Amino acid sequence: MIQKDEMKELAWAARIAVGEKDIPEFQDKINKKLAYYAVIADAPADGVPKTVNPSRLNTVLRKDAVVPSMSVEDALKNAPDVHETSFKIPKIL
Amino acid sequence: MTHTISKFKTADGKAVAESLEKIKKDGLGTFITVMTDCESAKTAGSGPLAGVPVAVSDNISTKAVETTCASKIMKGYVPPFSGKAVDDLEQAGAVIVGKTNMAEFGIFGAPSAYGPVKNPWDKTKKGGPSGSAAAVAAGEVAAAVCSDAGGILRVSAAYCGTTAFKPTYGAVSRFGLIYYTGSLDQIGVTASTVSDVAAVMDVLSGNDSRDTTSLPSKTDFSGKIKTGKSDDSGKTCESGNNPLSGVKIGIPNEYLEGVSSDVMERFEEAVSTFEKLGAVCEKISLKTAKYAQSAHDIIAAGESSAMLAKFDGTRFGPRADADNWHEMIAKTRALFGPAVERRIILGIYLLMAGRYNDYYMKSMQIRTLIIEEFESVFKEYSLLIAPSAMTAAPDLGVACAGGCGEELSSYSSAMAGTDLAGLPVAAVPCGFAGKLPAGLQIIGGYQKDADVIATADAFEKATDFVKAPEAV
Repeated sequence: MIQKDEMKELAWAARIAVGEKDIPEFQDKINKKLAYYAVIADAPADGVPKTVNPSRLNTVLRKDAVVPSMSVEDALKNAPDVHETSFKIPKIL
Repeated sequence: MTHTISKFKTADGKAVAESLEKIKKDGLGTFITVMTDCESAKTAGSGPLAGVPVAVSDNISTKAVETTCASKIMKGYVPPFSGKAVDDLEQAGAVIVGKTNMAEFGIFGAPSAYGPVKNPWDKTKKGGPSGSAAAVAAGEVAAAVCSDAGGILRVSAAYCGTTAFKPTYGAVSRFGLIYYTGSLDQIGVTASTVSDVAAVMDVLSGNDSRDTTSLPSKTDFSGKIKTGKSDDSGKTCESGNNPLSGVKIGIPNEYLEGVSSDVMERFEEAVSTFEKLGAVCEKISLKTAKYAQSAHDIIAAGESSAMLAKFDGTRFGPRADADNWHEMIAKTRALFGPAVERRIILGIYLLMAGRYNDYYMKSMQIRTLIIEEFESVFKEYSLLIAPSAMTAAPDLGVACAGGCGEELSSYSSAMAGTDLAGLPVAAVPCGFAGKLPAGLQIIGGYQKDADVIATADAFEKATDFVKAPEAV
């Protein structure tokens, strides 16, 4: 089960500013989920290969060909801040 | 009066204007954005949906029209391109009149930032986690295209008495769909009748190199309705009074657990109808059903933690004021609703070293077991059936009987299992529980979409459940 301090660390890892008052509710609801998942422990899955997605396609690689792509102008259109042809963000350090 | 595509087509060129007027007055919360200037396009197209008003869910990109995924974190985002589904609809002549409300990012149990969808049959009841079905039931549009993971489209259809279809994984391109769980989300359709759903599905079908999961060949969804055949397995394909003669239908006991008595009565009557149509119906057991909702939830959480990582205030959407980049991202991402935040945080936990094998890896192995069991079952049975929702539409503000009370990513083990296996499912009305619609789902084997649709069509034609709210 997730403890309060671990909950705060997970929120930081998720890059989500969760308020101190909301931590207990988050902790409670996520712990209830983990308890619910207990059922999978007895699934006879030893040695069973994993399925990443249900597609039966043998390959998802498409032909390596140059096709039109989004213009820089369109790519920047929704950005909160830009500098010339780049996304502009606040300082990192 | 039912709101079929043909009725909209015979509206003497006024279909779009009437649609917009209905949306304006509805008070149901079905739409997030209404394209009030779309009327000028009503005669612009030709094709099978010429001049027909349709809706798309607000997580499908529409060029130059705000697309929010029902989330504050996407407020103001205006895509520079349209999704393939939107392009397909417009090329078929359809007029997109608006973007429907939905659970935030299509996550089952995550409330929309734009409020709940009310049910057109009774405004004190839920219209479901997608506004698409309510928009169809209210006669605002002839059809609505909506993503479905966990049952947000199929459960909404059951609550509102419409027909819905989620296709085989990869049958419809997801280019331009802002999905939250890539291995579970698919684009589906809801409309008043099975033939209308199939007609729109045909428009959306086809390979798309921009979606790496897109199937190589076009699926003919309506083909077997046109030929009157419902099964190509060699068992039977007769039309007439017994269109399902020789078709063997399984009813998983596990999919009946928790179903309310009134919905169960309608379902049992529906089983009798299938038998009158010539089908043989038998109860069966699915050993993997008990794992399905947990595996679905774990996979959906893990995928959402990765797929929703791009919403950080850098490239699109609002940005929170902050002194540095880390603080900016964390404050911006607090614009997600709490249920979405918990899903992302949970996903990160499940993918951590030390947890991964017990949860995420094991769920992917269970997914294999589920697929193998379905494949085994479909060697003996052509189709499976079950109630779509466990109850009729619950009151607004009350958690529904399925997984949404615990914020699970799927409504039921049936929804979870079919998602995990990528199977085609039709949800059709099967009568009324009191004054509210009840629905059943028809599940087919991988790429047996046309069989599912033909069987749903046969059931619809043998019953009288296609109704609009004002008719009751």
